[in-house]
Amino acid sequence: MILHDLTDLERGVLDALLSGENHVLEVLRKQLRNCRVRSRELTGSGFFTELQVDRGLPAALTSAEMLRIGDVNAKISGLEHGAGFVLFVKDGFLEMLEGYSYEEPWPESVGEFELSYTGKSRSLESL
Amino acid sequence: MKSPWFRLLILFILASLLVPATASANSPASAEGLVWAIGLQEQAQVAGAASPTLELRPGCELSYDDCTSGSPPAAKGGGGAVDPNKLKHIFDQARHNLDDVVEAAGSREGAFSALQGAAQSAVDAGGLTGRFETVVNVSGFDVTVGGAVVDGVARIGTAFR
Repeated sequence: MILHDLTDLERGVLDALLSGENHVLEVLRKQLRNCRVRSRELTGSGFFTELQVDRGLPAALTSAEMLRIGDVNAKISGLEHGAGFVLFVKDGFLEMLEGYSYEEPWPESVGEFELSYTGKSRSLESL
Repeated sequence: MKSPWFRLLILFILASLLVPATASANSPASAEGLVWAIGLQEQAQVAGAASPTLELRPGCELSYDDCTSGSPPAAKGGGGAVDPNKLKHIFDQARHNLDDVVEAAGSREGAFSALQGAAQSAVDAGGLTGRFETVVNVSGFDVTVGGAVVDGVARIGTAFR
């Protein structure tokens, strides 16, 4: 299996999603350090990036078997209404990053972007 | 012997009795009304977009205005053809776990329309603006929808359960 590097957008979004003082996020950040891309699918409306992490690392003790984190948005050139993201965490391991537009065609290439959080403060208690 | 005027009067009365009965059975208006009623029924079935056998002809794209008369997006002018890439993005991803929702709706287009309508209702009821994430119930399934409100219209980004 050929593994790929994360793109700048993927890296930036994952850093933002996993930022914060929280034990679950801390464990997931350790997984991210050696994370590679198993596959990447562009759907025309967004992307799905399957992540490969070292299963020898500790699993995050999440509140649910499947955890989804999705409070990061991006301003991206070519997307008038921006983009949203969801990180899928299964059994305590990073699994997939999803990016999506709001009913606009996803640009063929992403140049500069600017990230922000959906709310004024992040609620990390539910992790 | 009856006078010619009397015969004419009898003929006139008979004619006035017979002509309306004939017209009500065969008039174009009545036949068209029957066809119109059948057509309306067929149209209603298609409009529900819930028939499992509903298939789009090549080159024909389902739009909110066409398939969900009175839906919030259509009412607010946000209707348009459903982007096939959006359908693929939302419903072809196994981790979104939406197969049951599609089956209940009868099609991916129907499921998307139902999600759109439910999200719009949530936006209207909650006064949501900008980016939002909300849980809506579609065909008995709780579905998390991520979207953005643009000019009062809920635009769907992703959905999963």
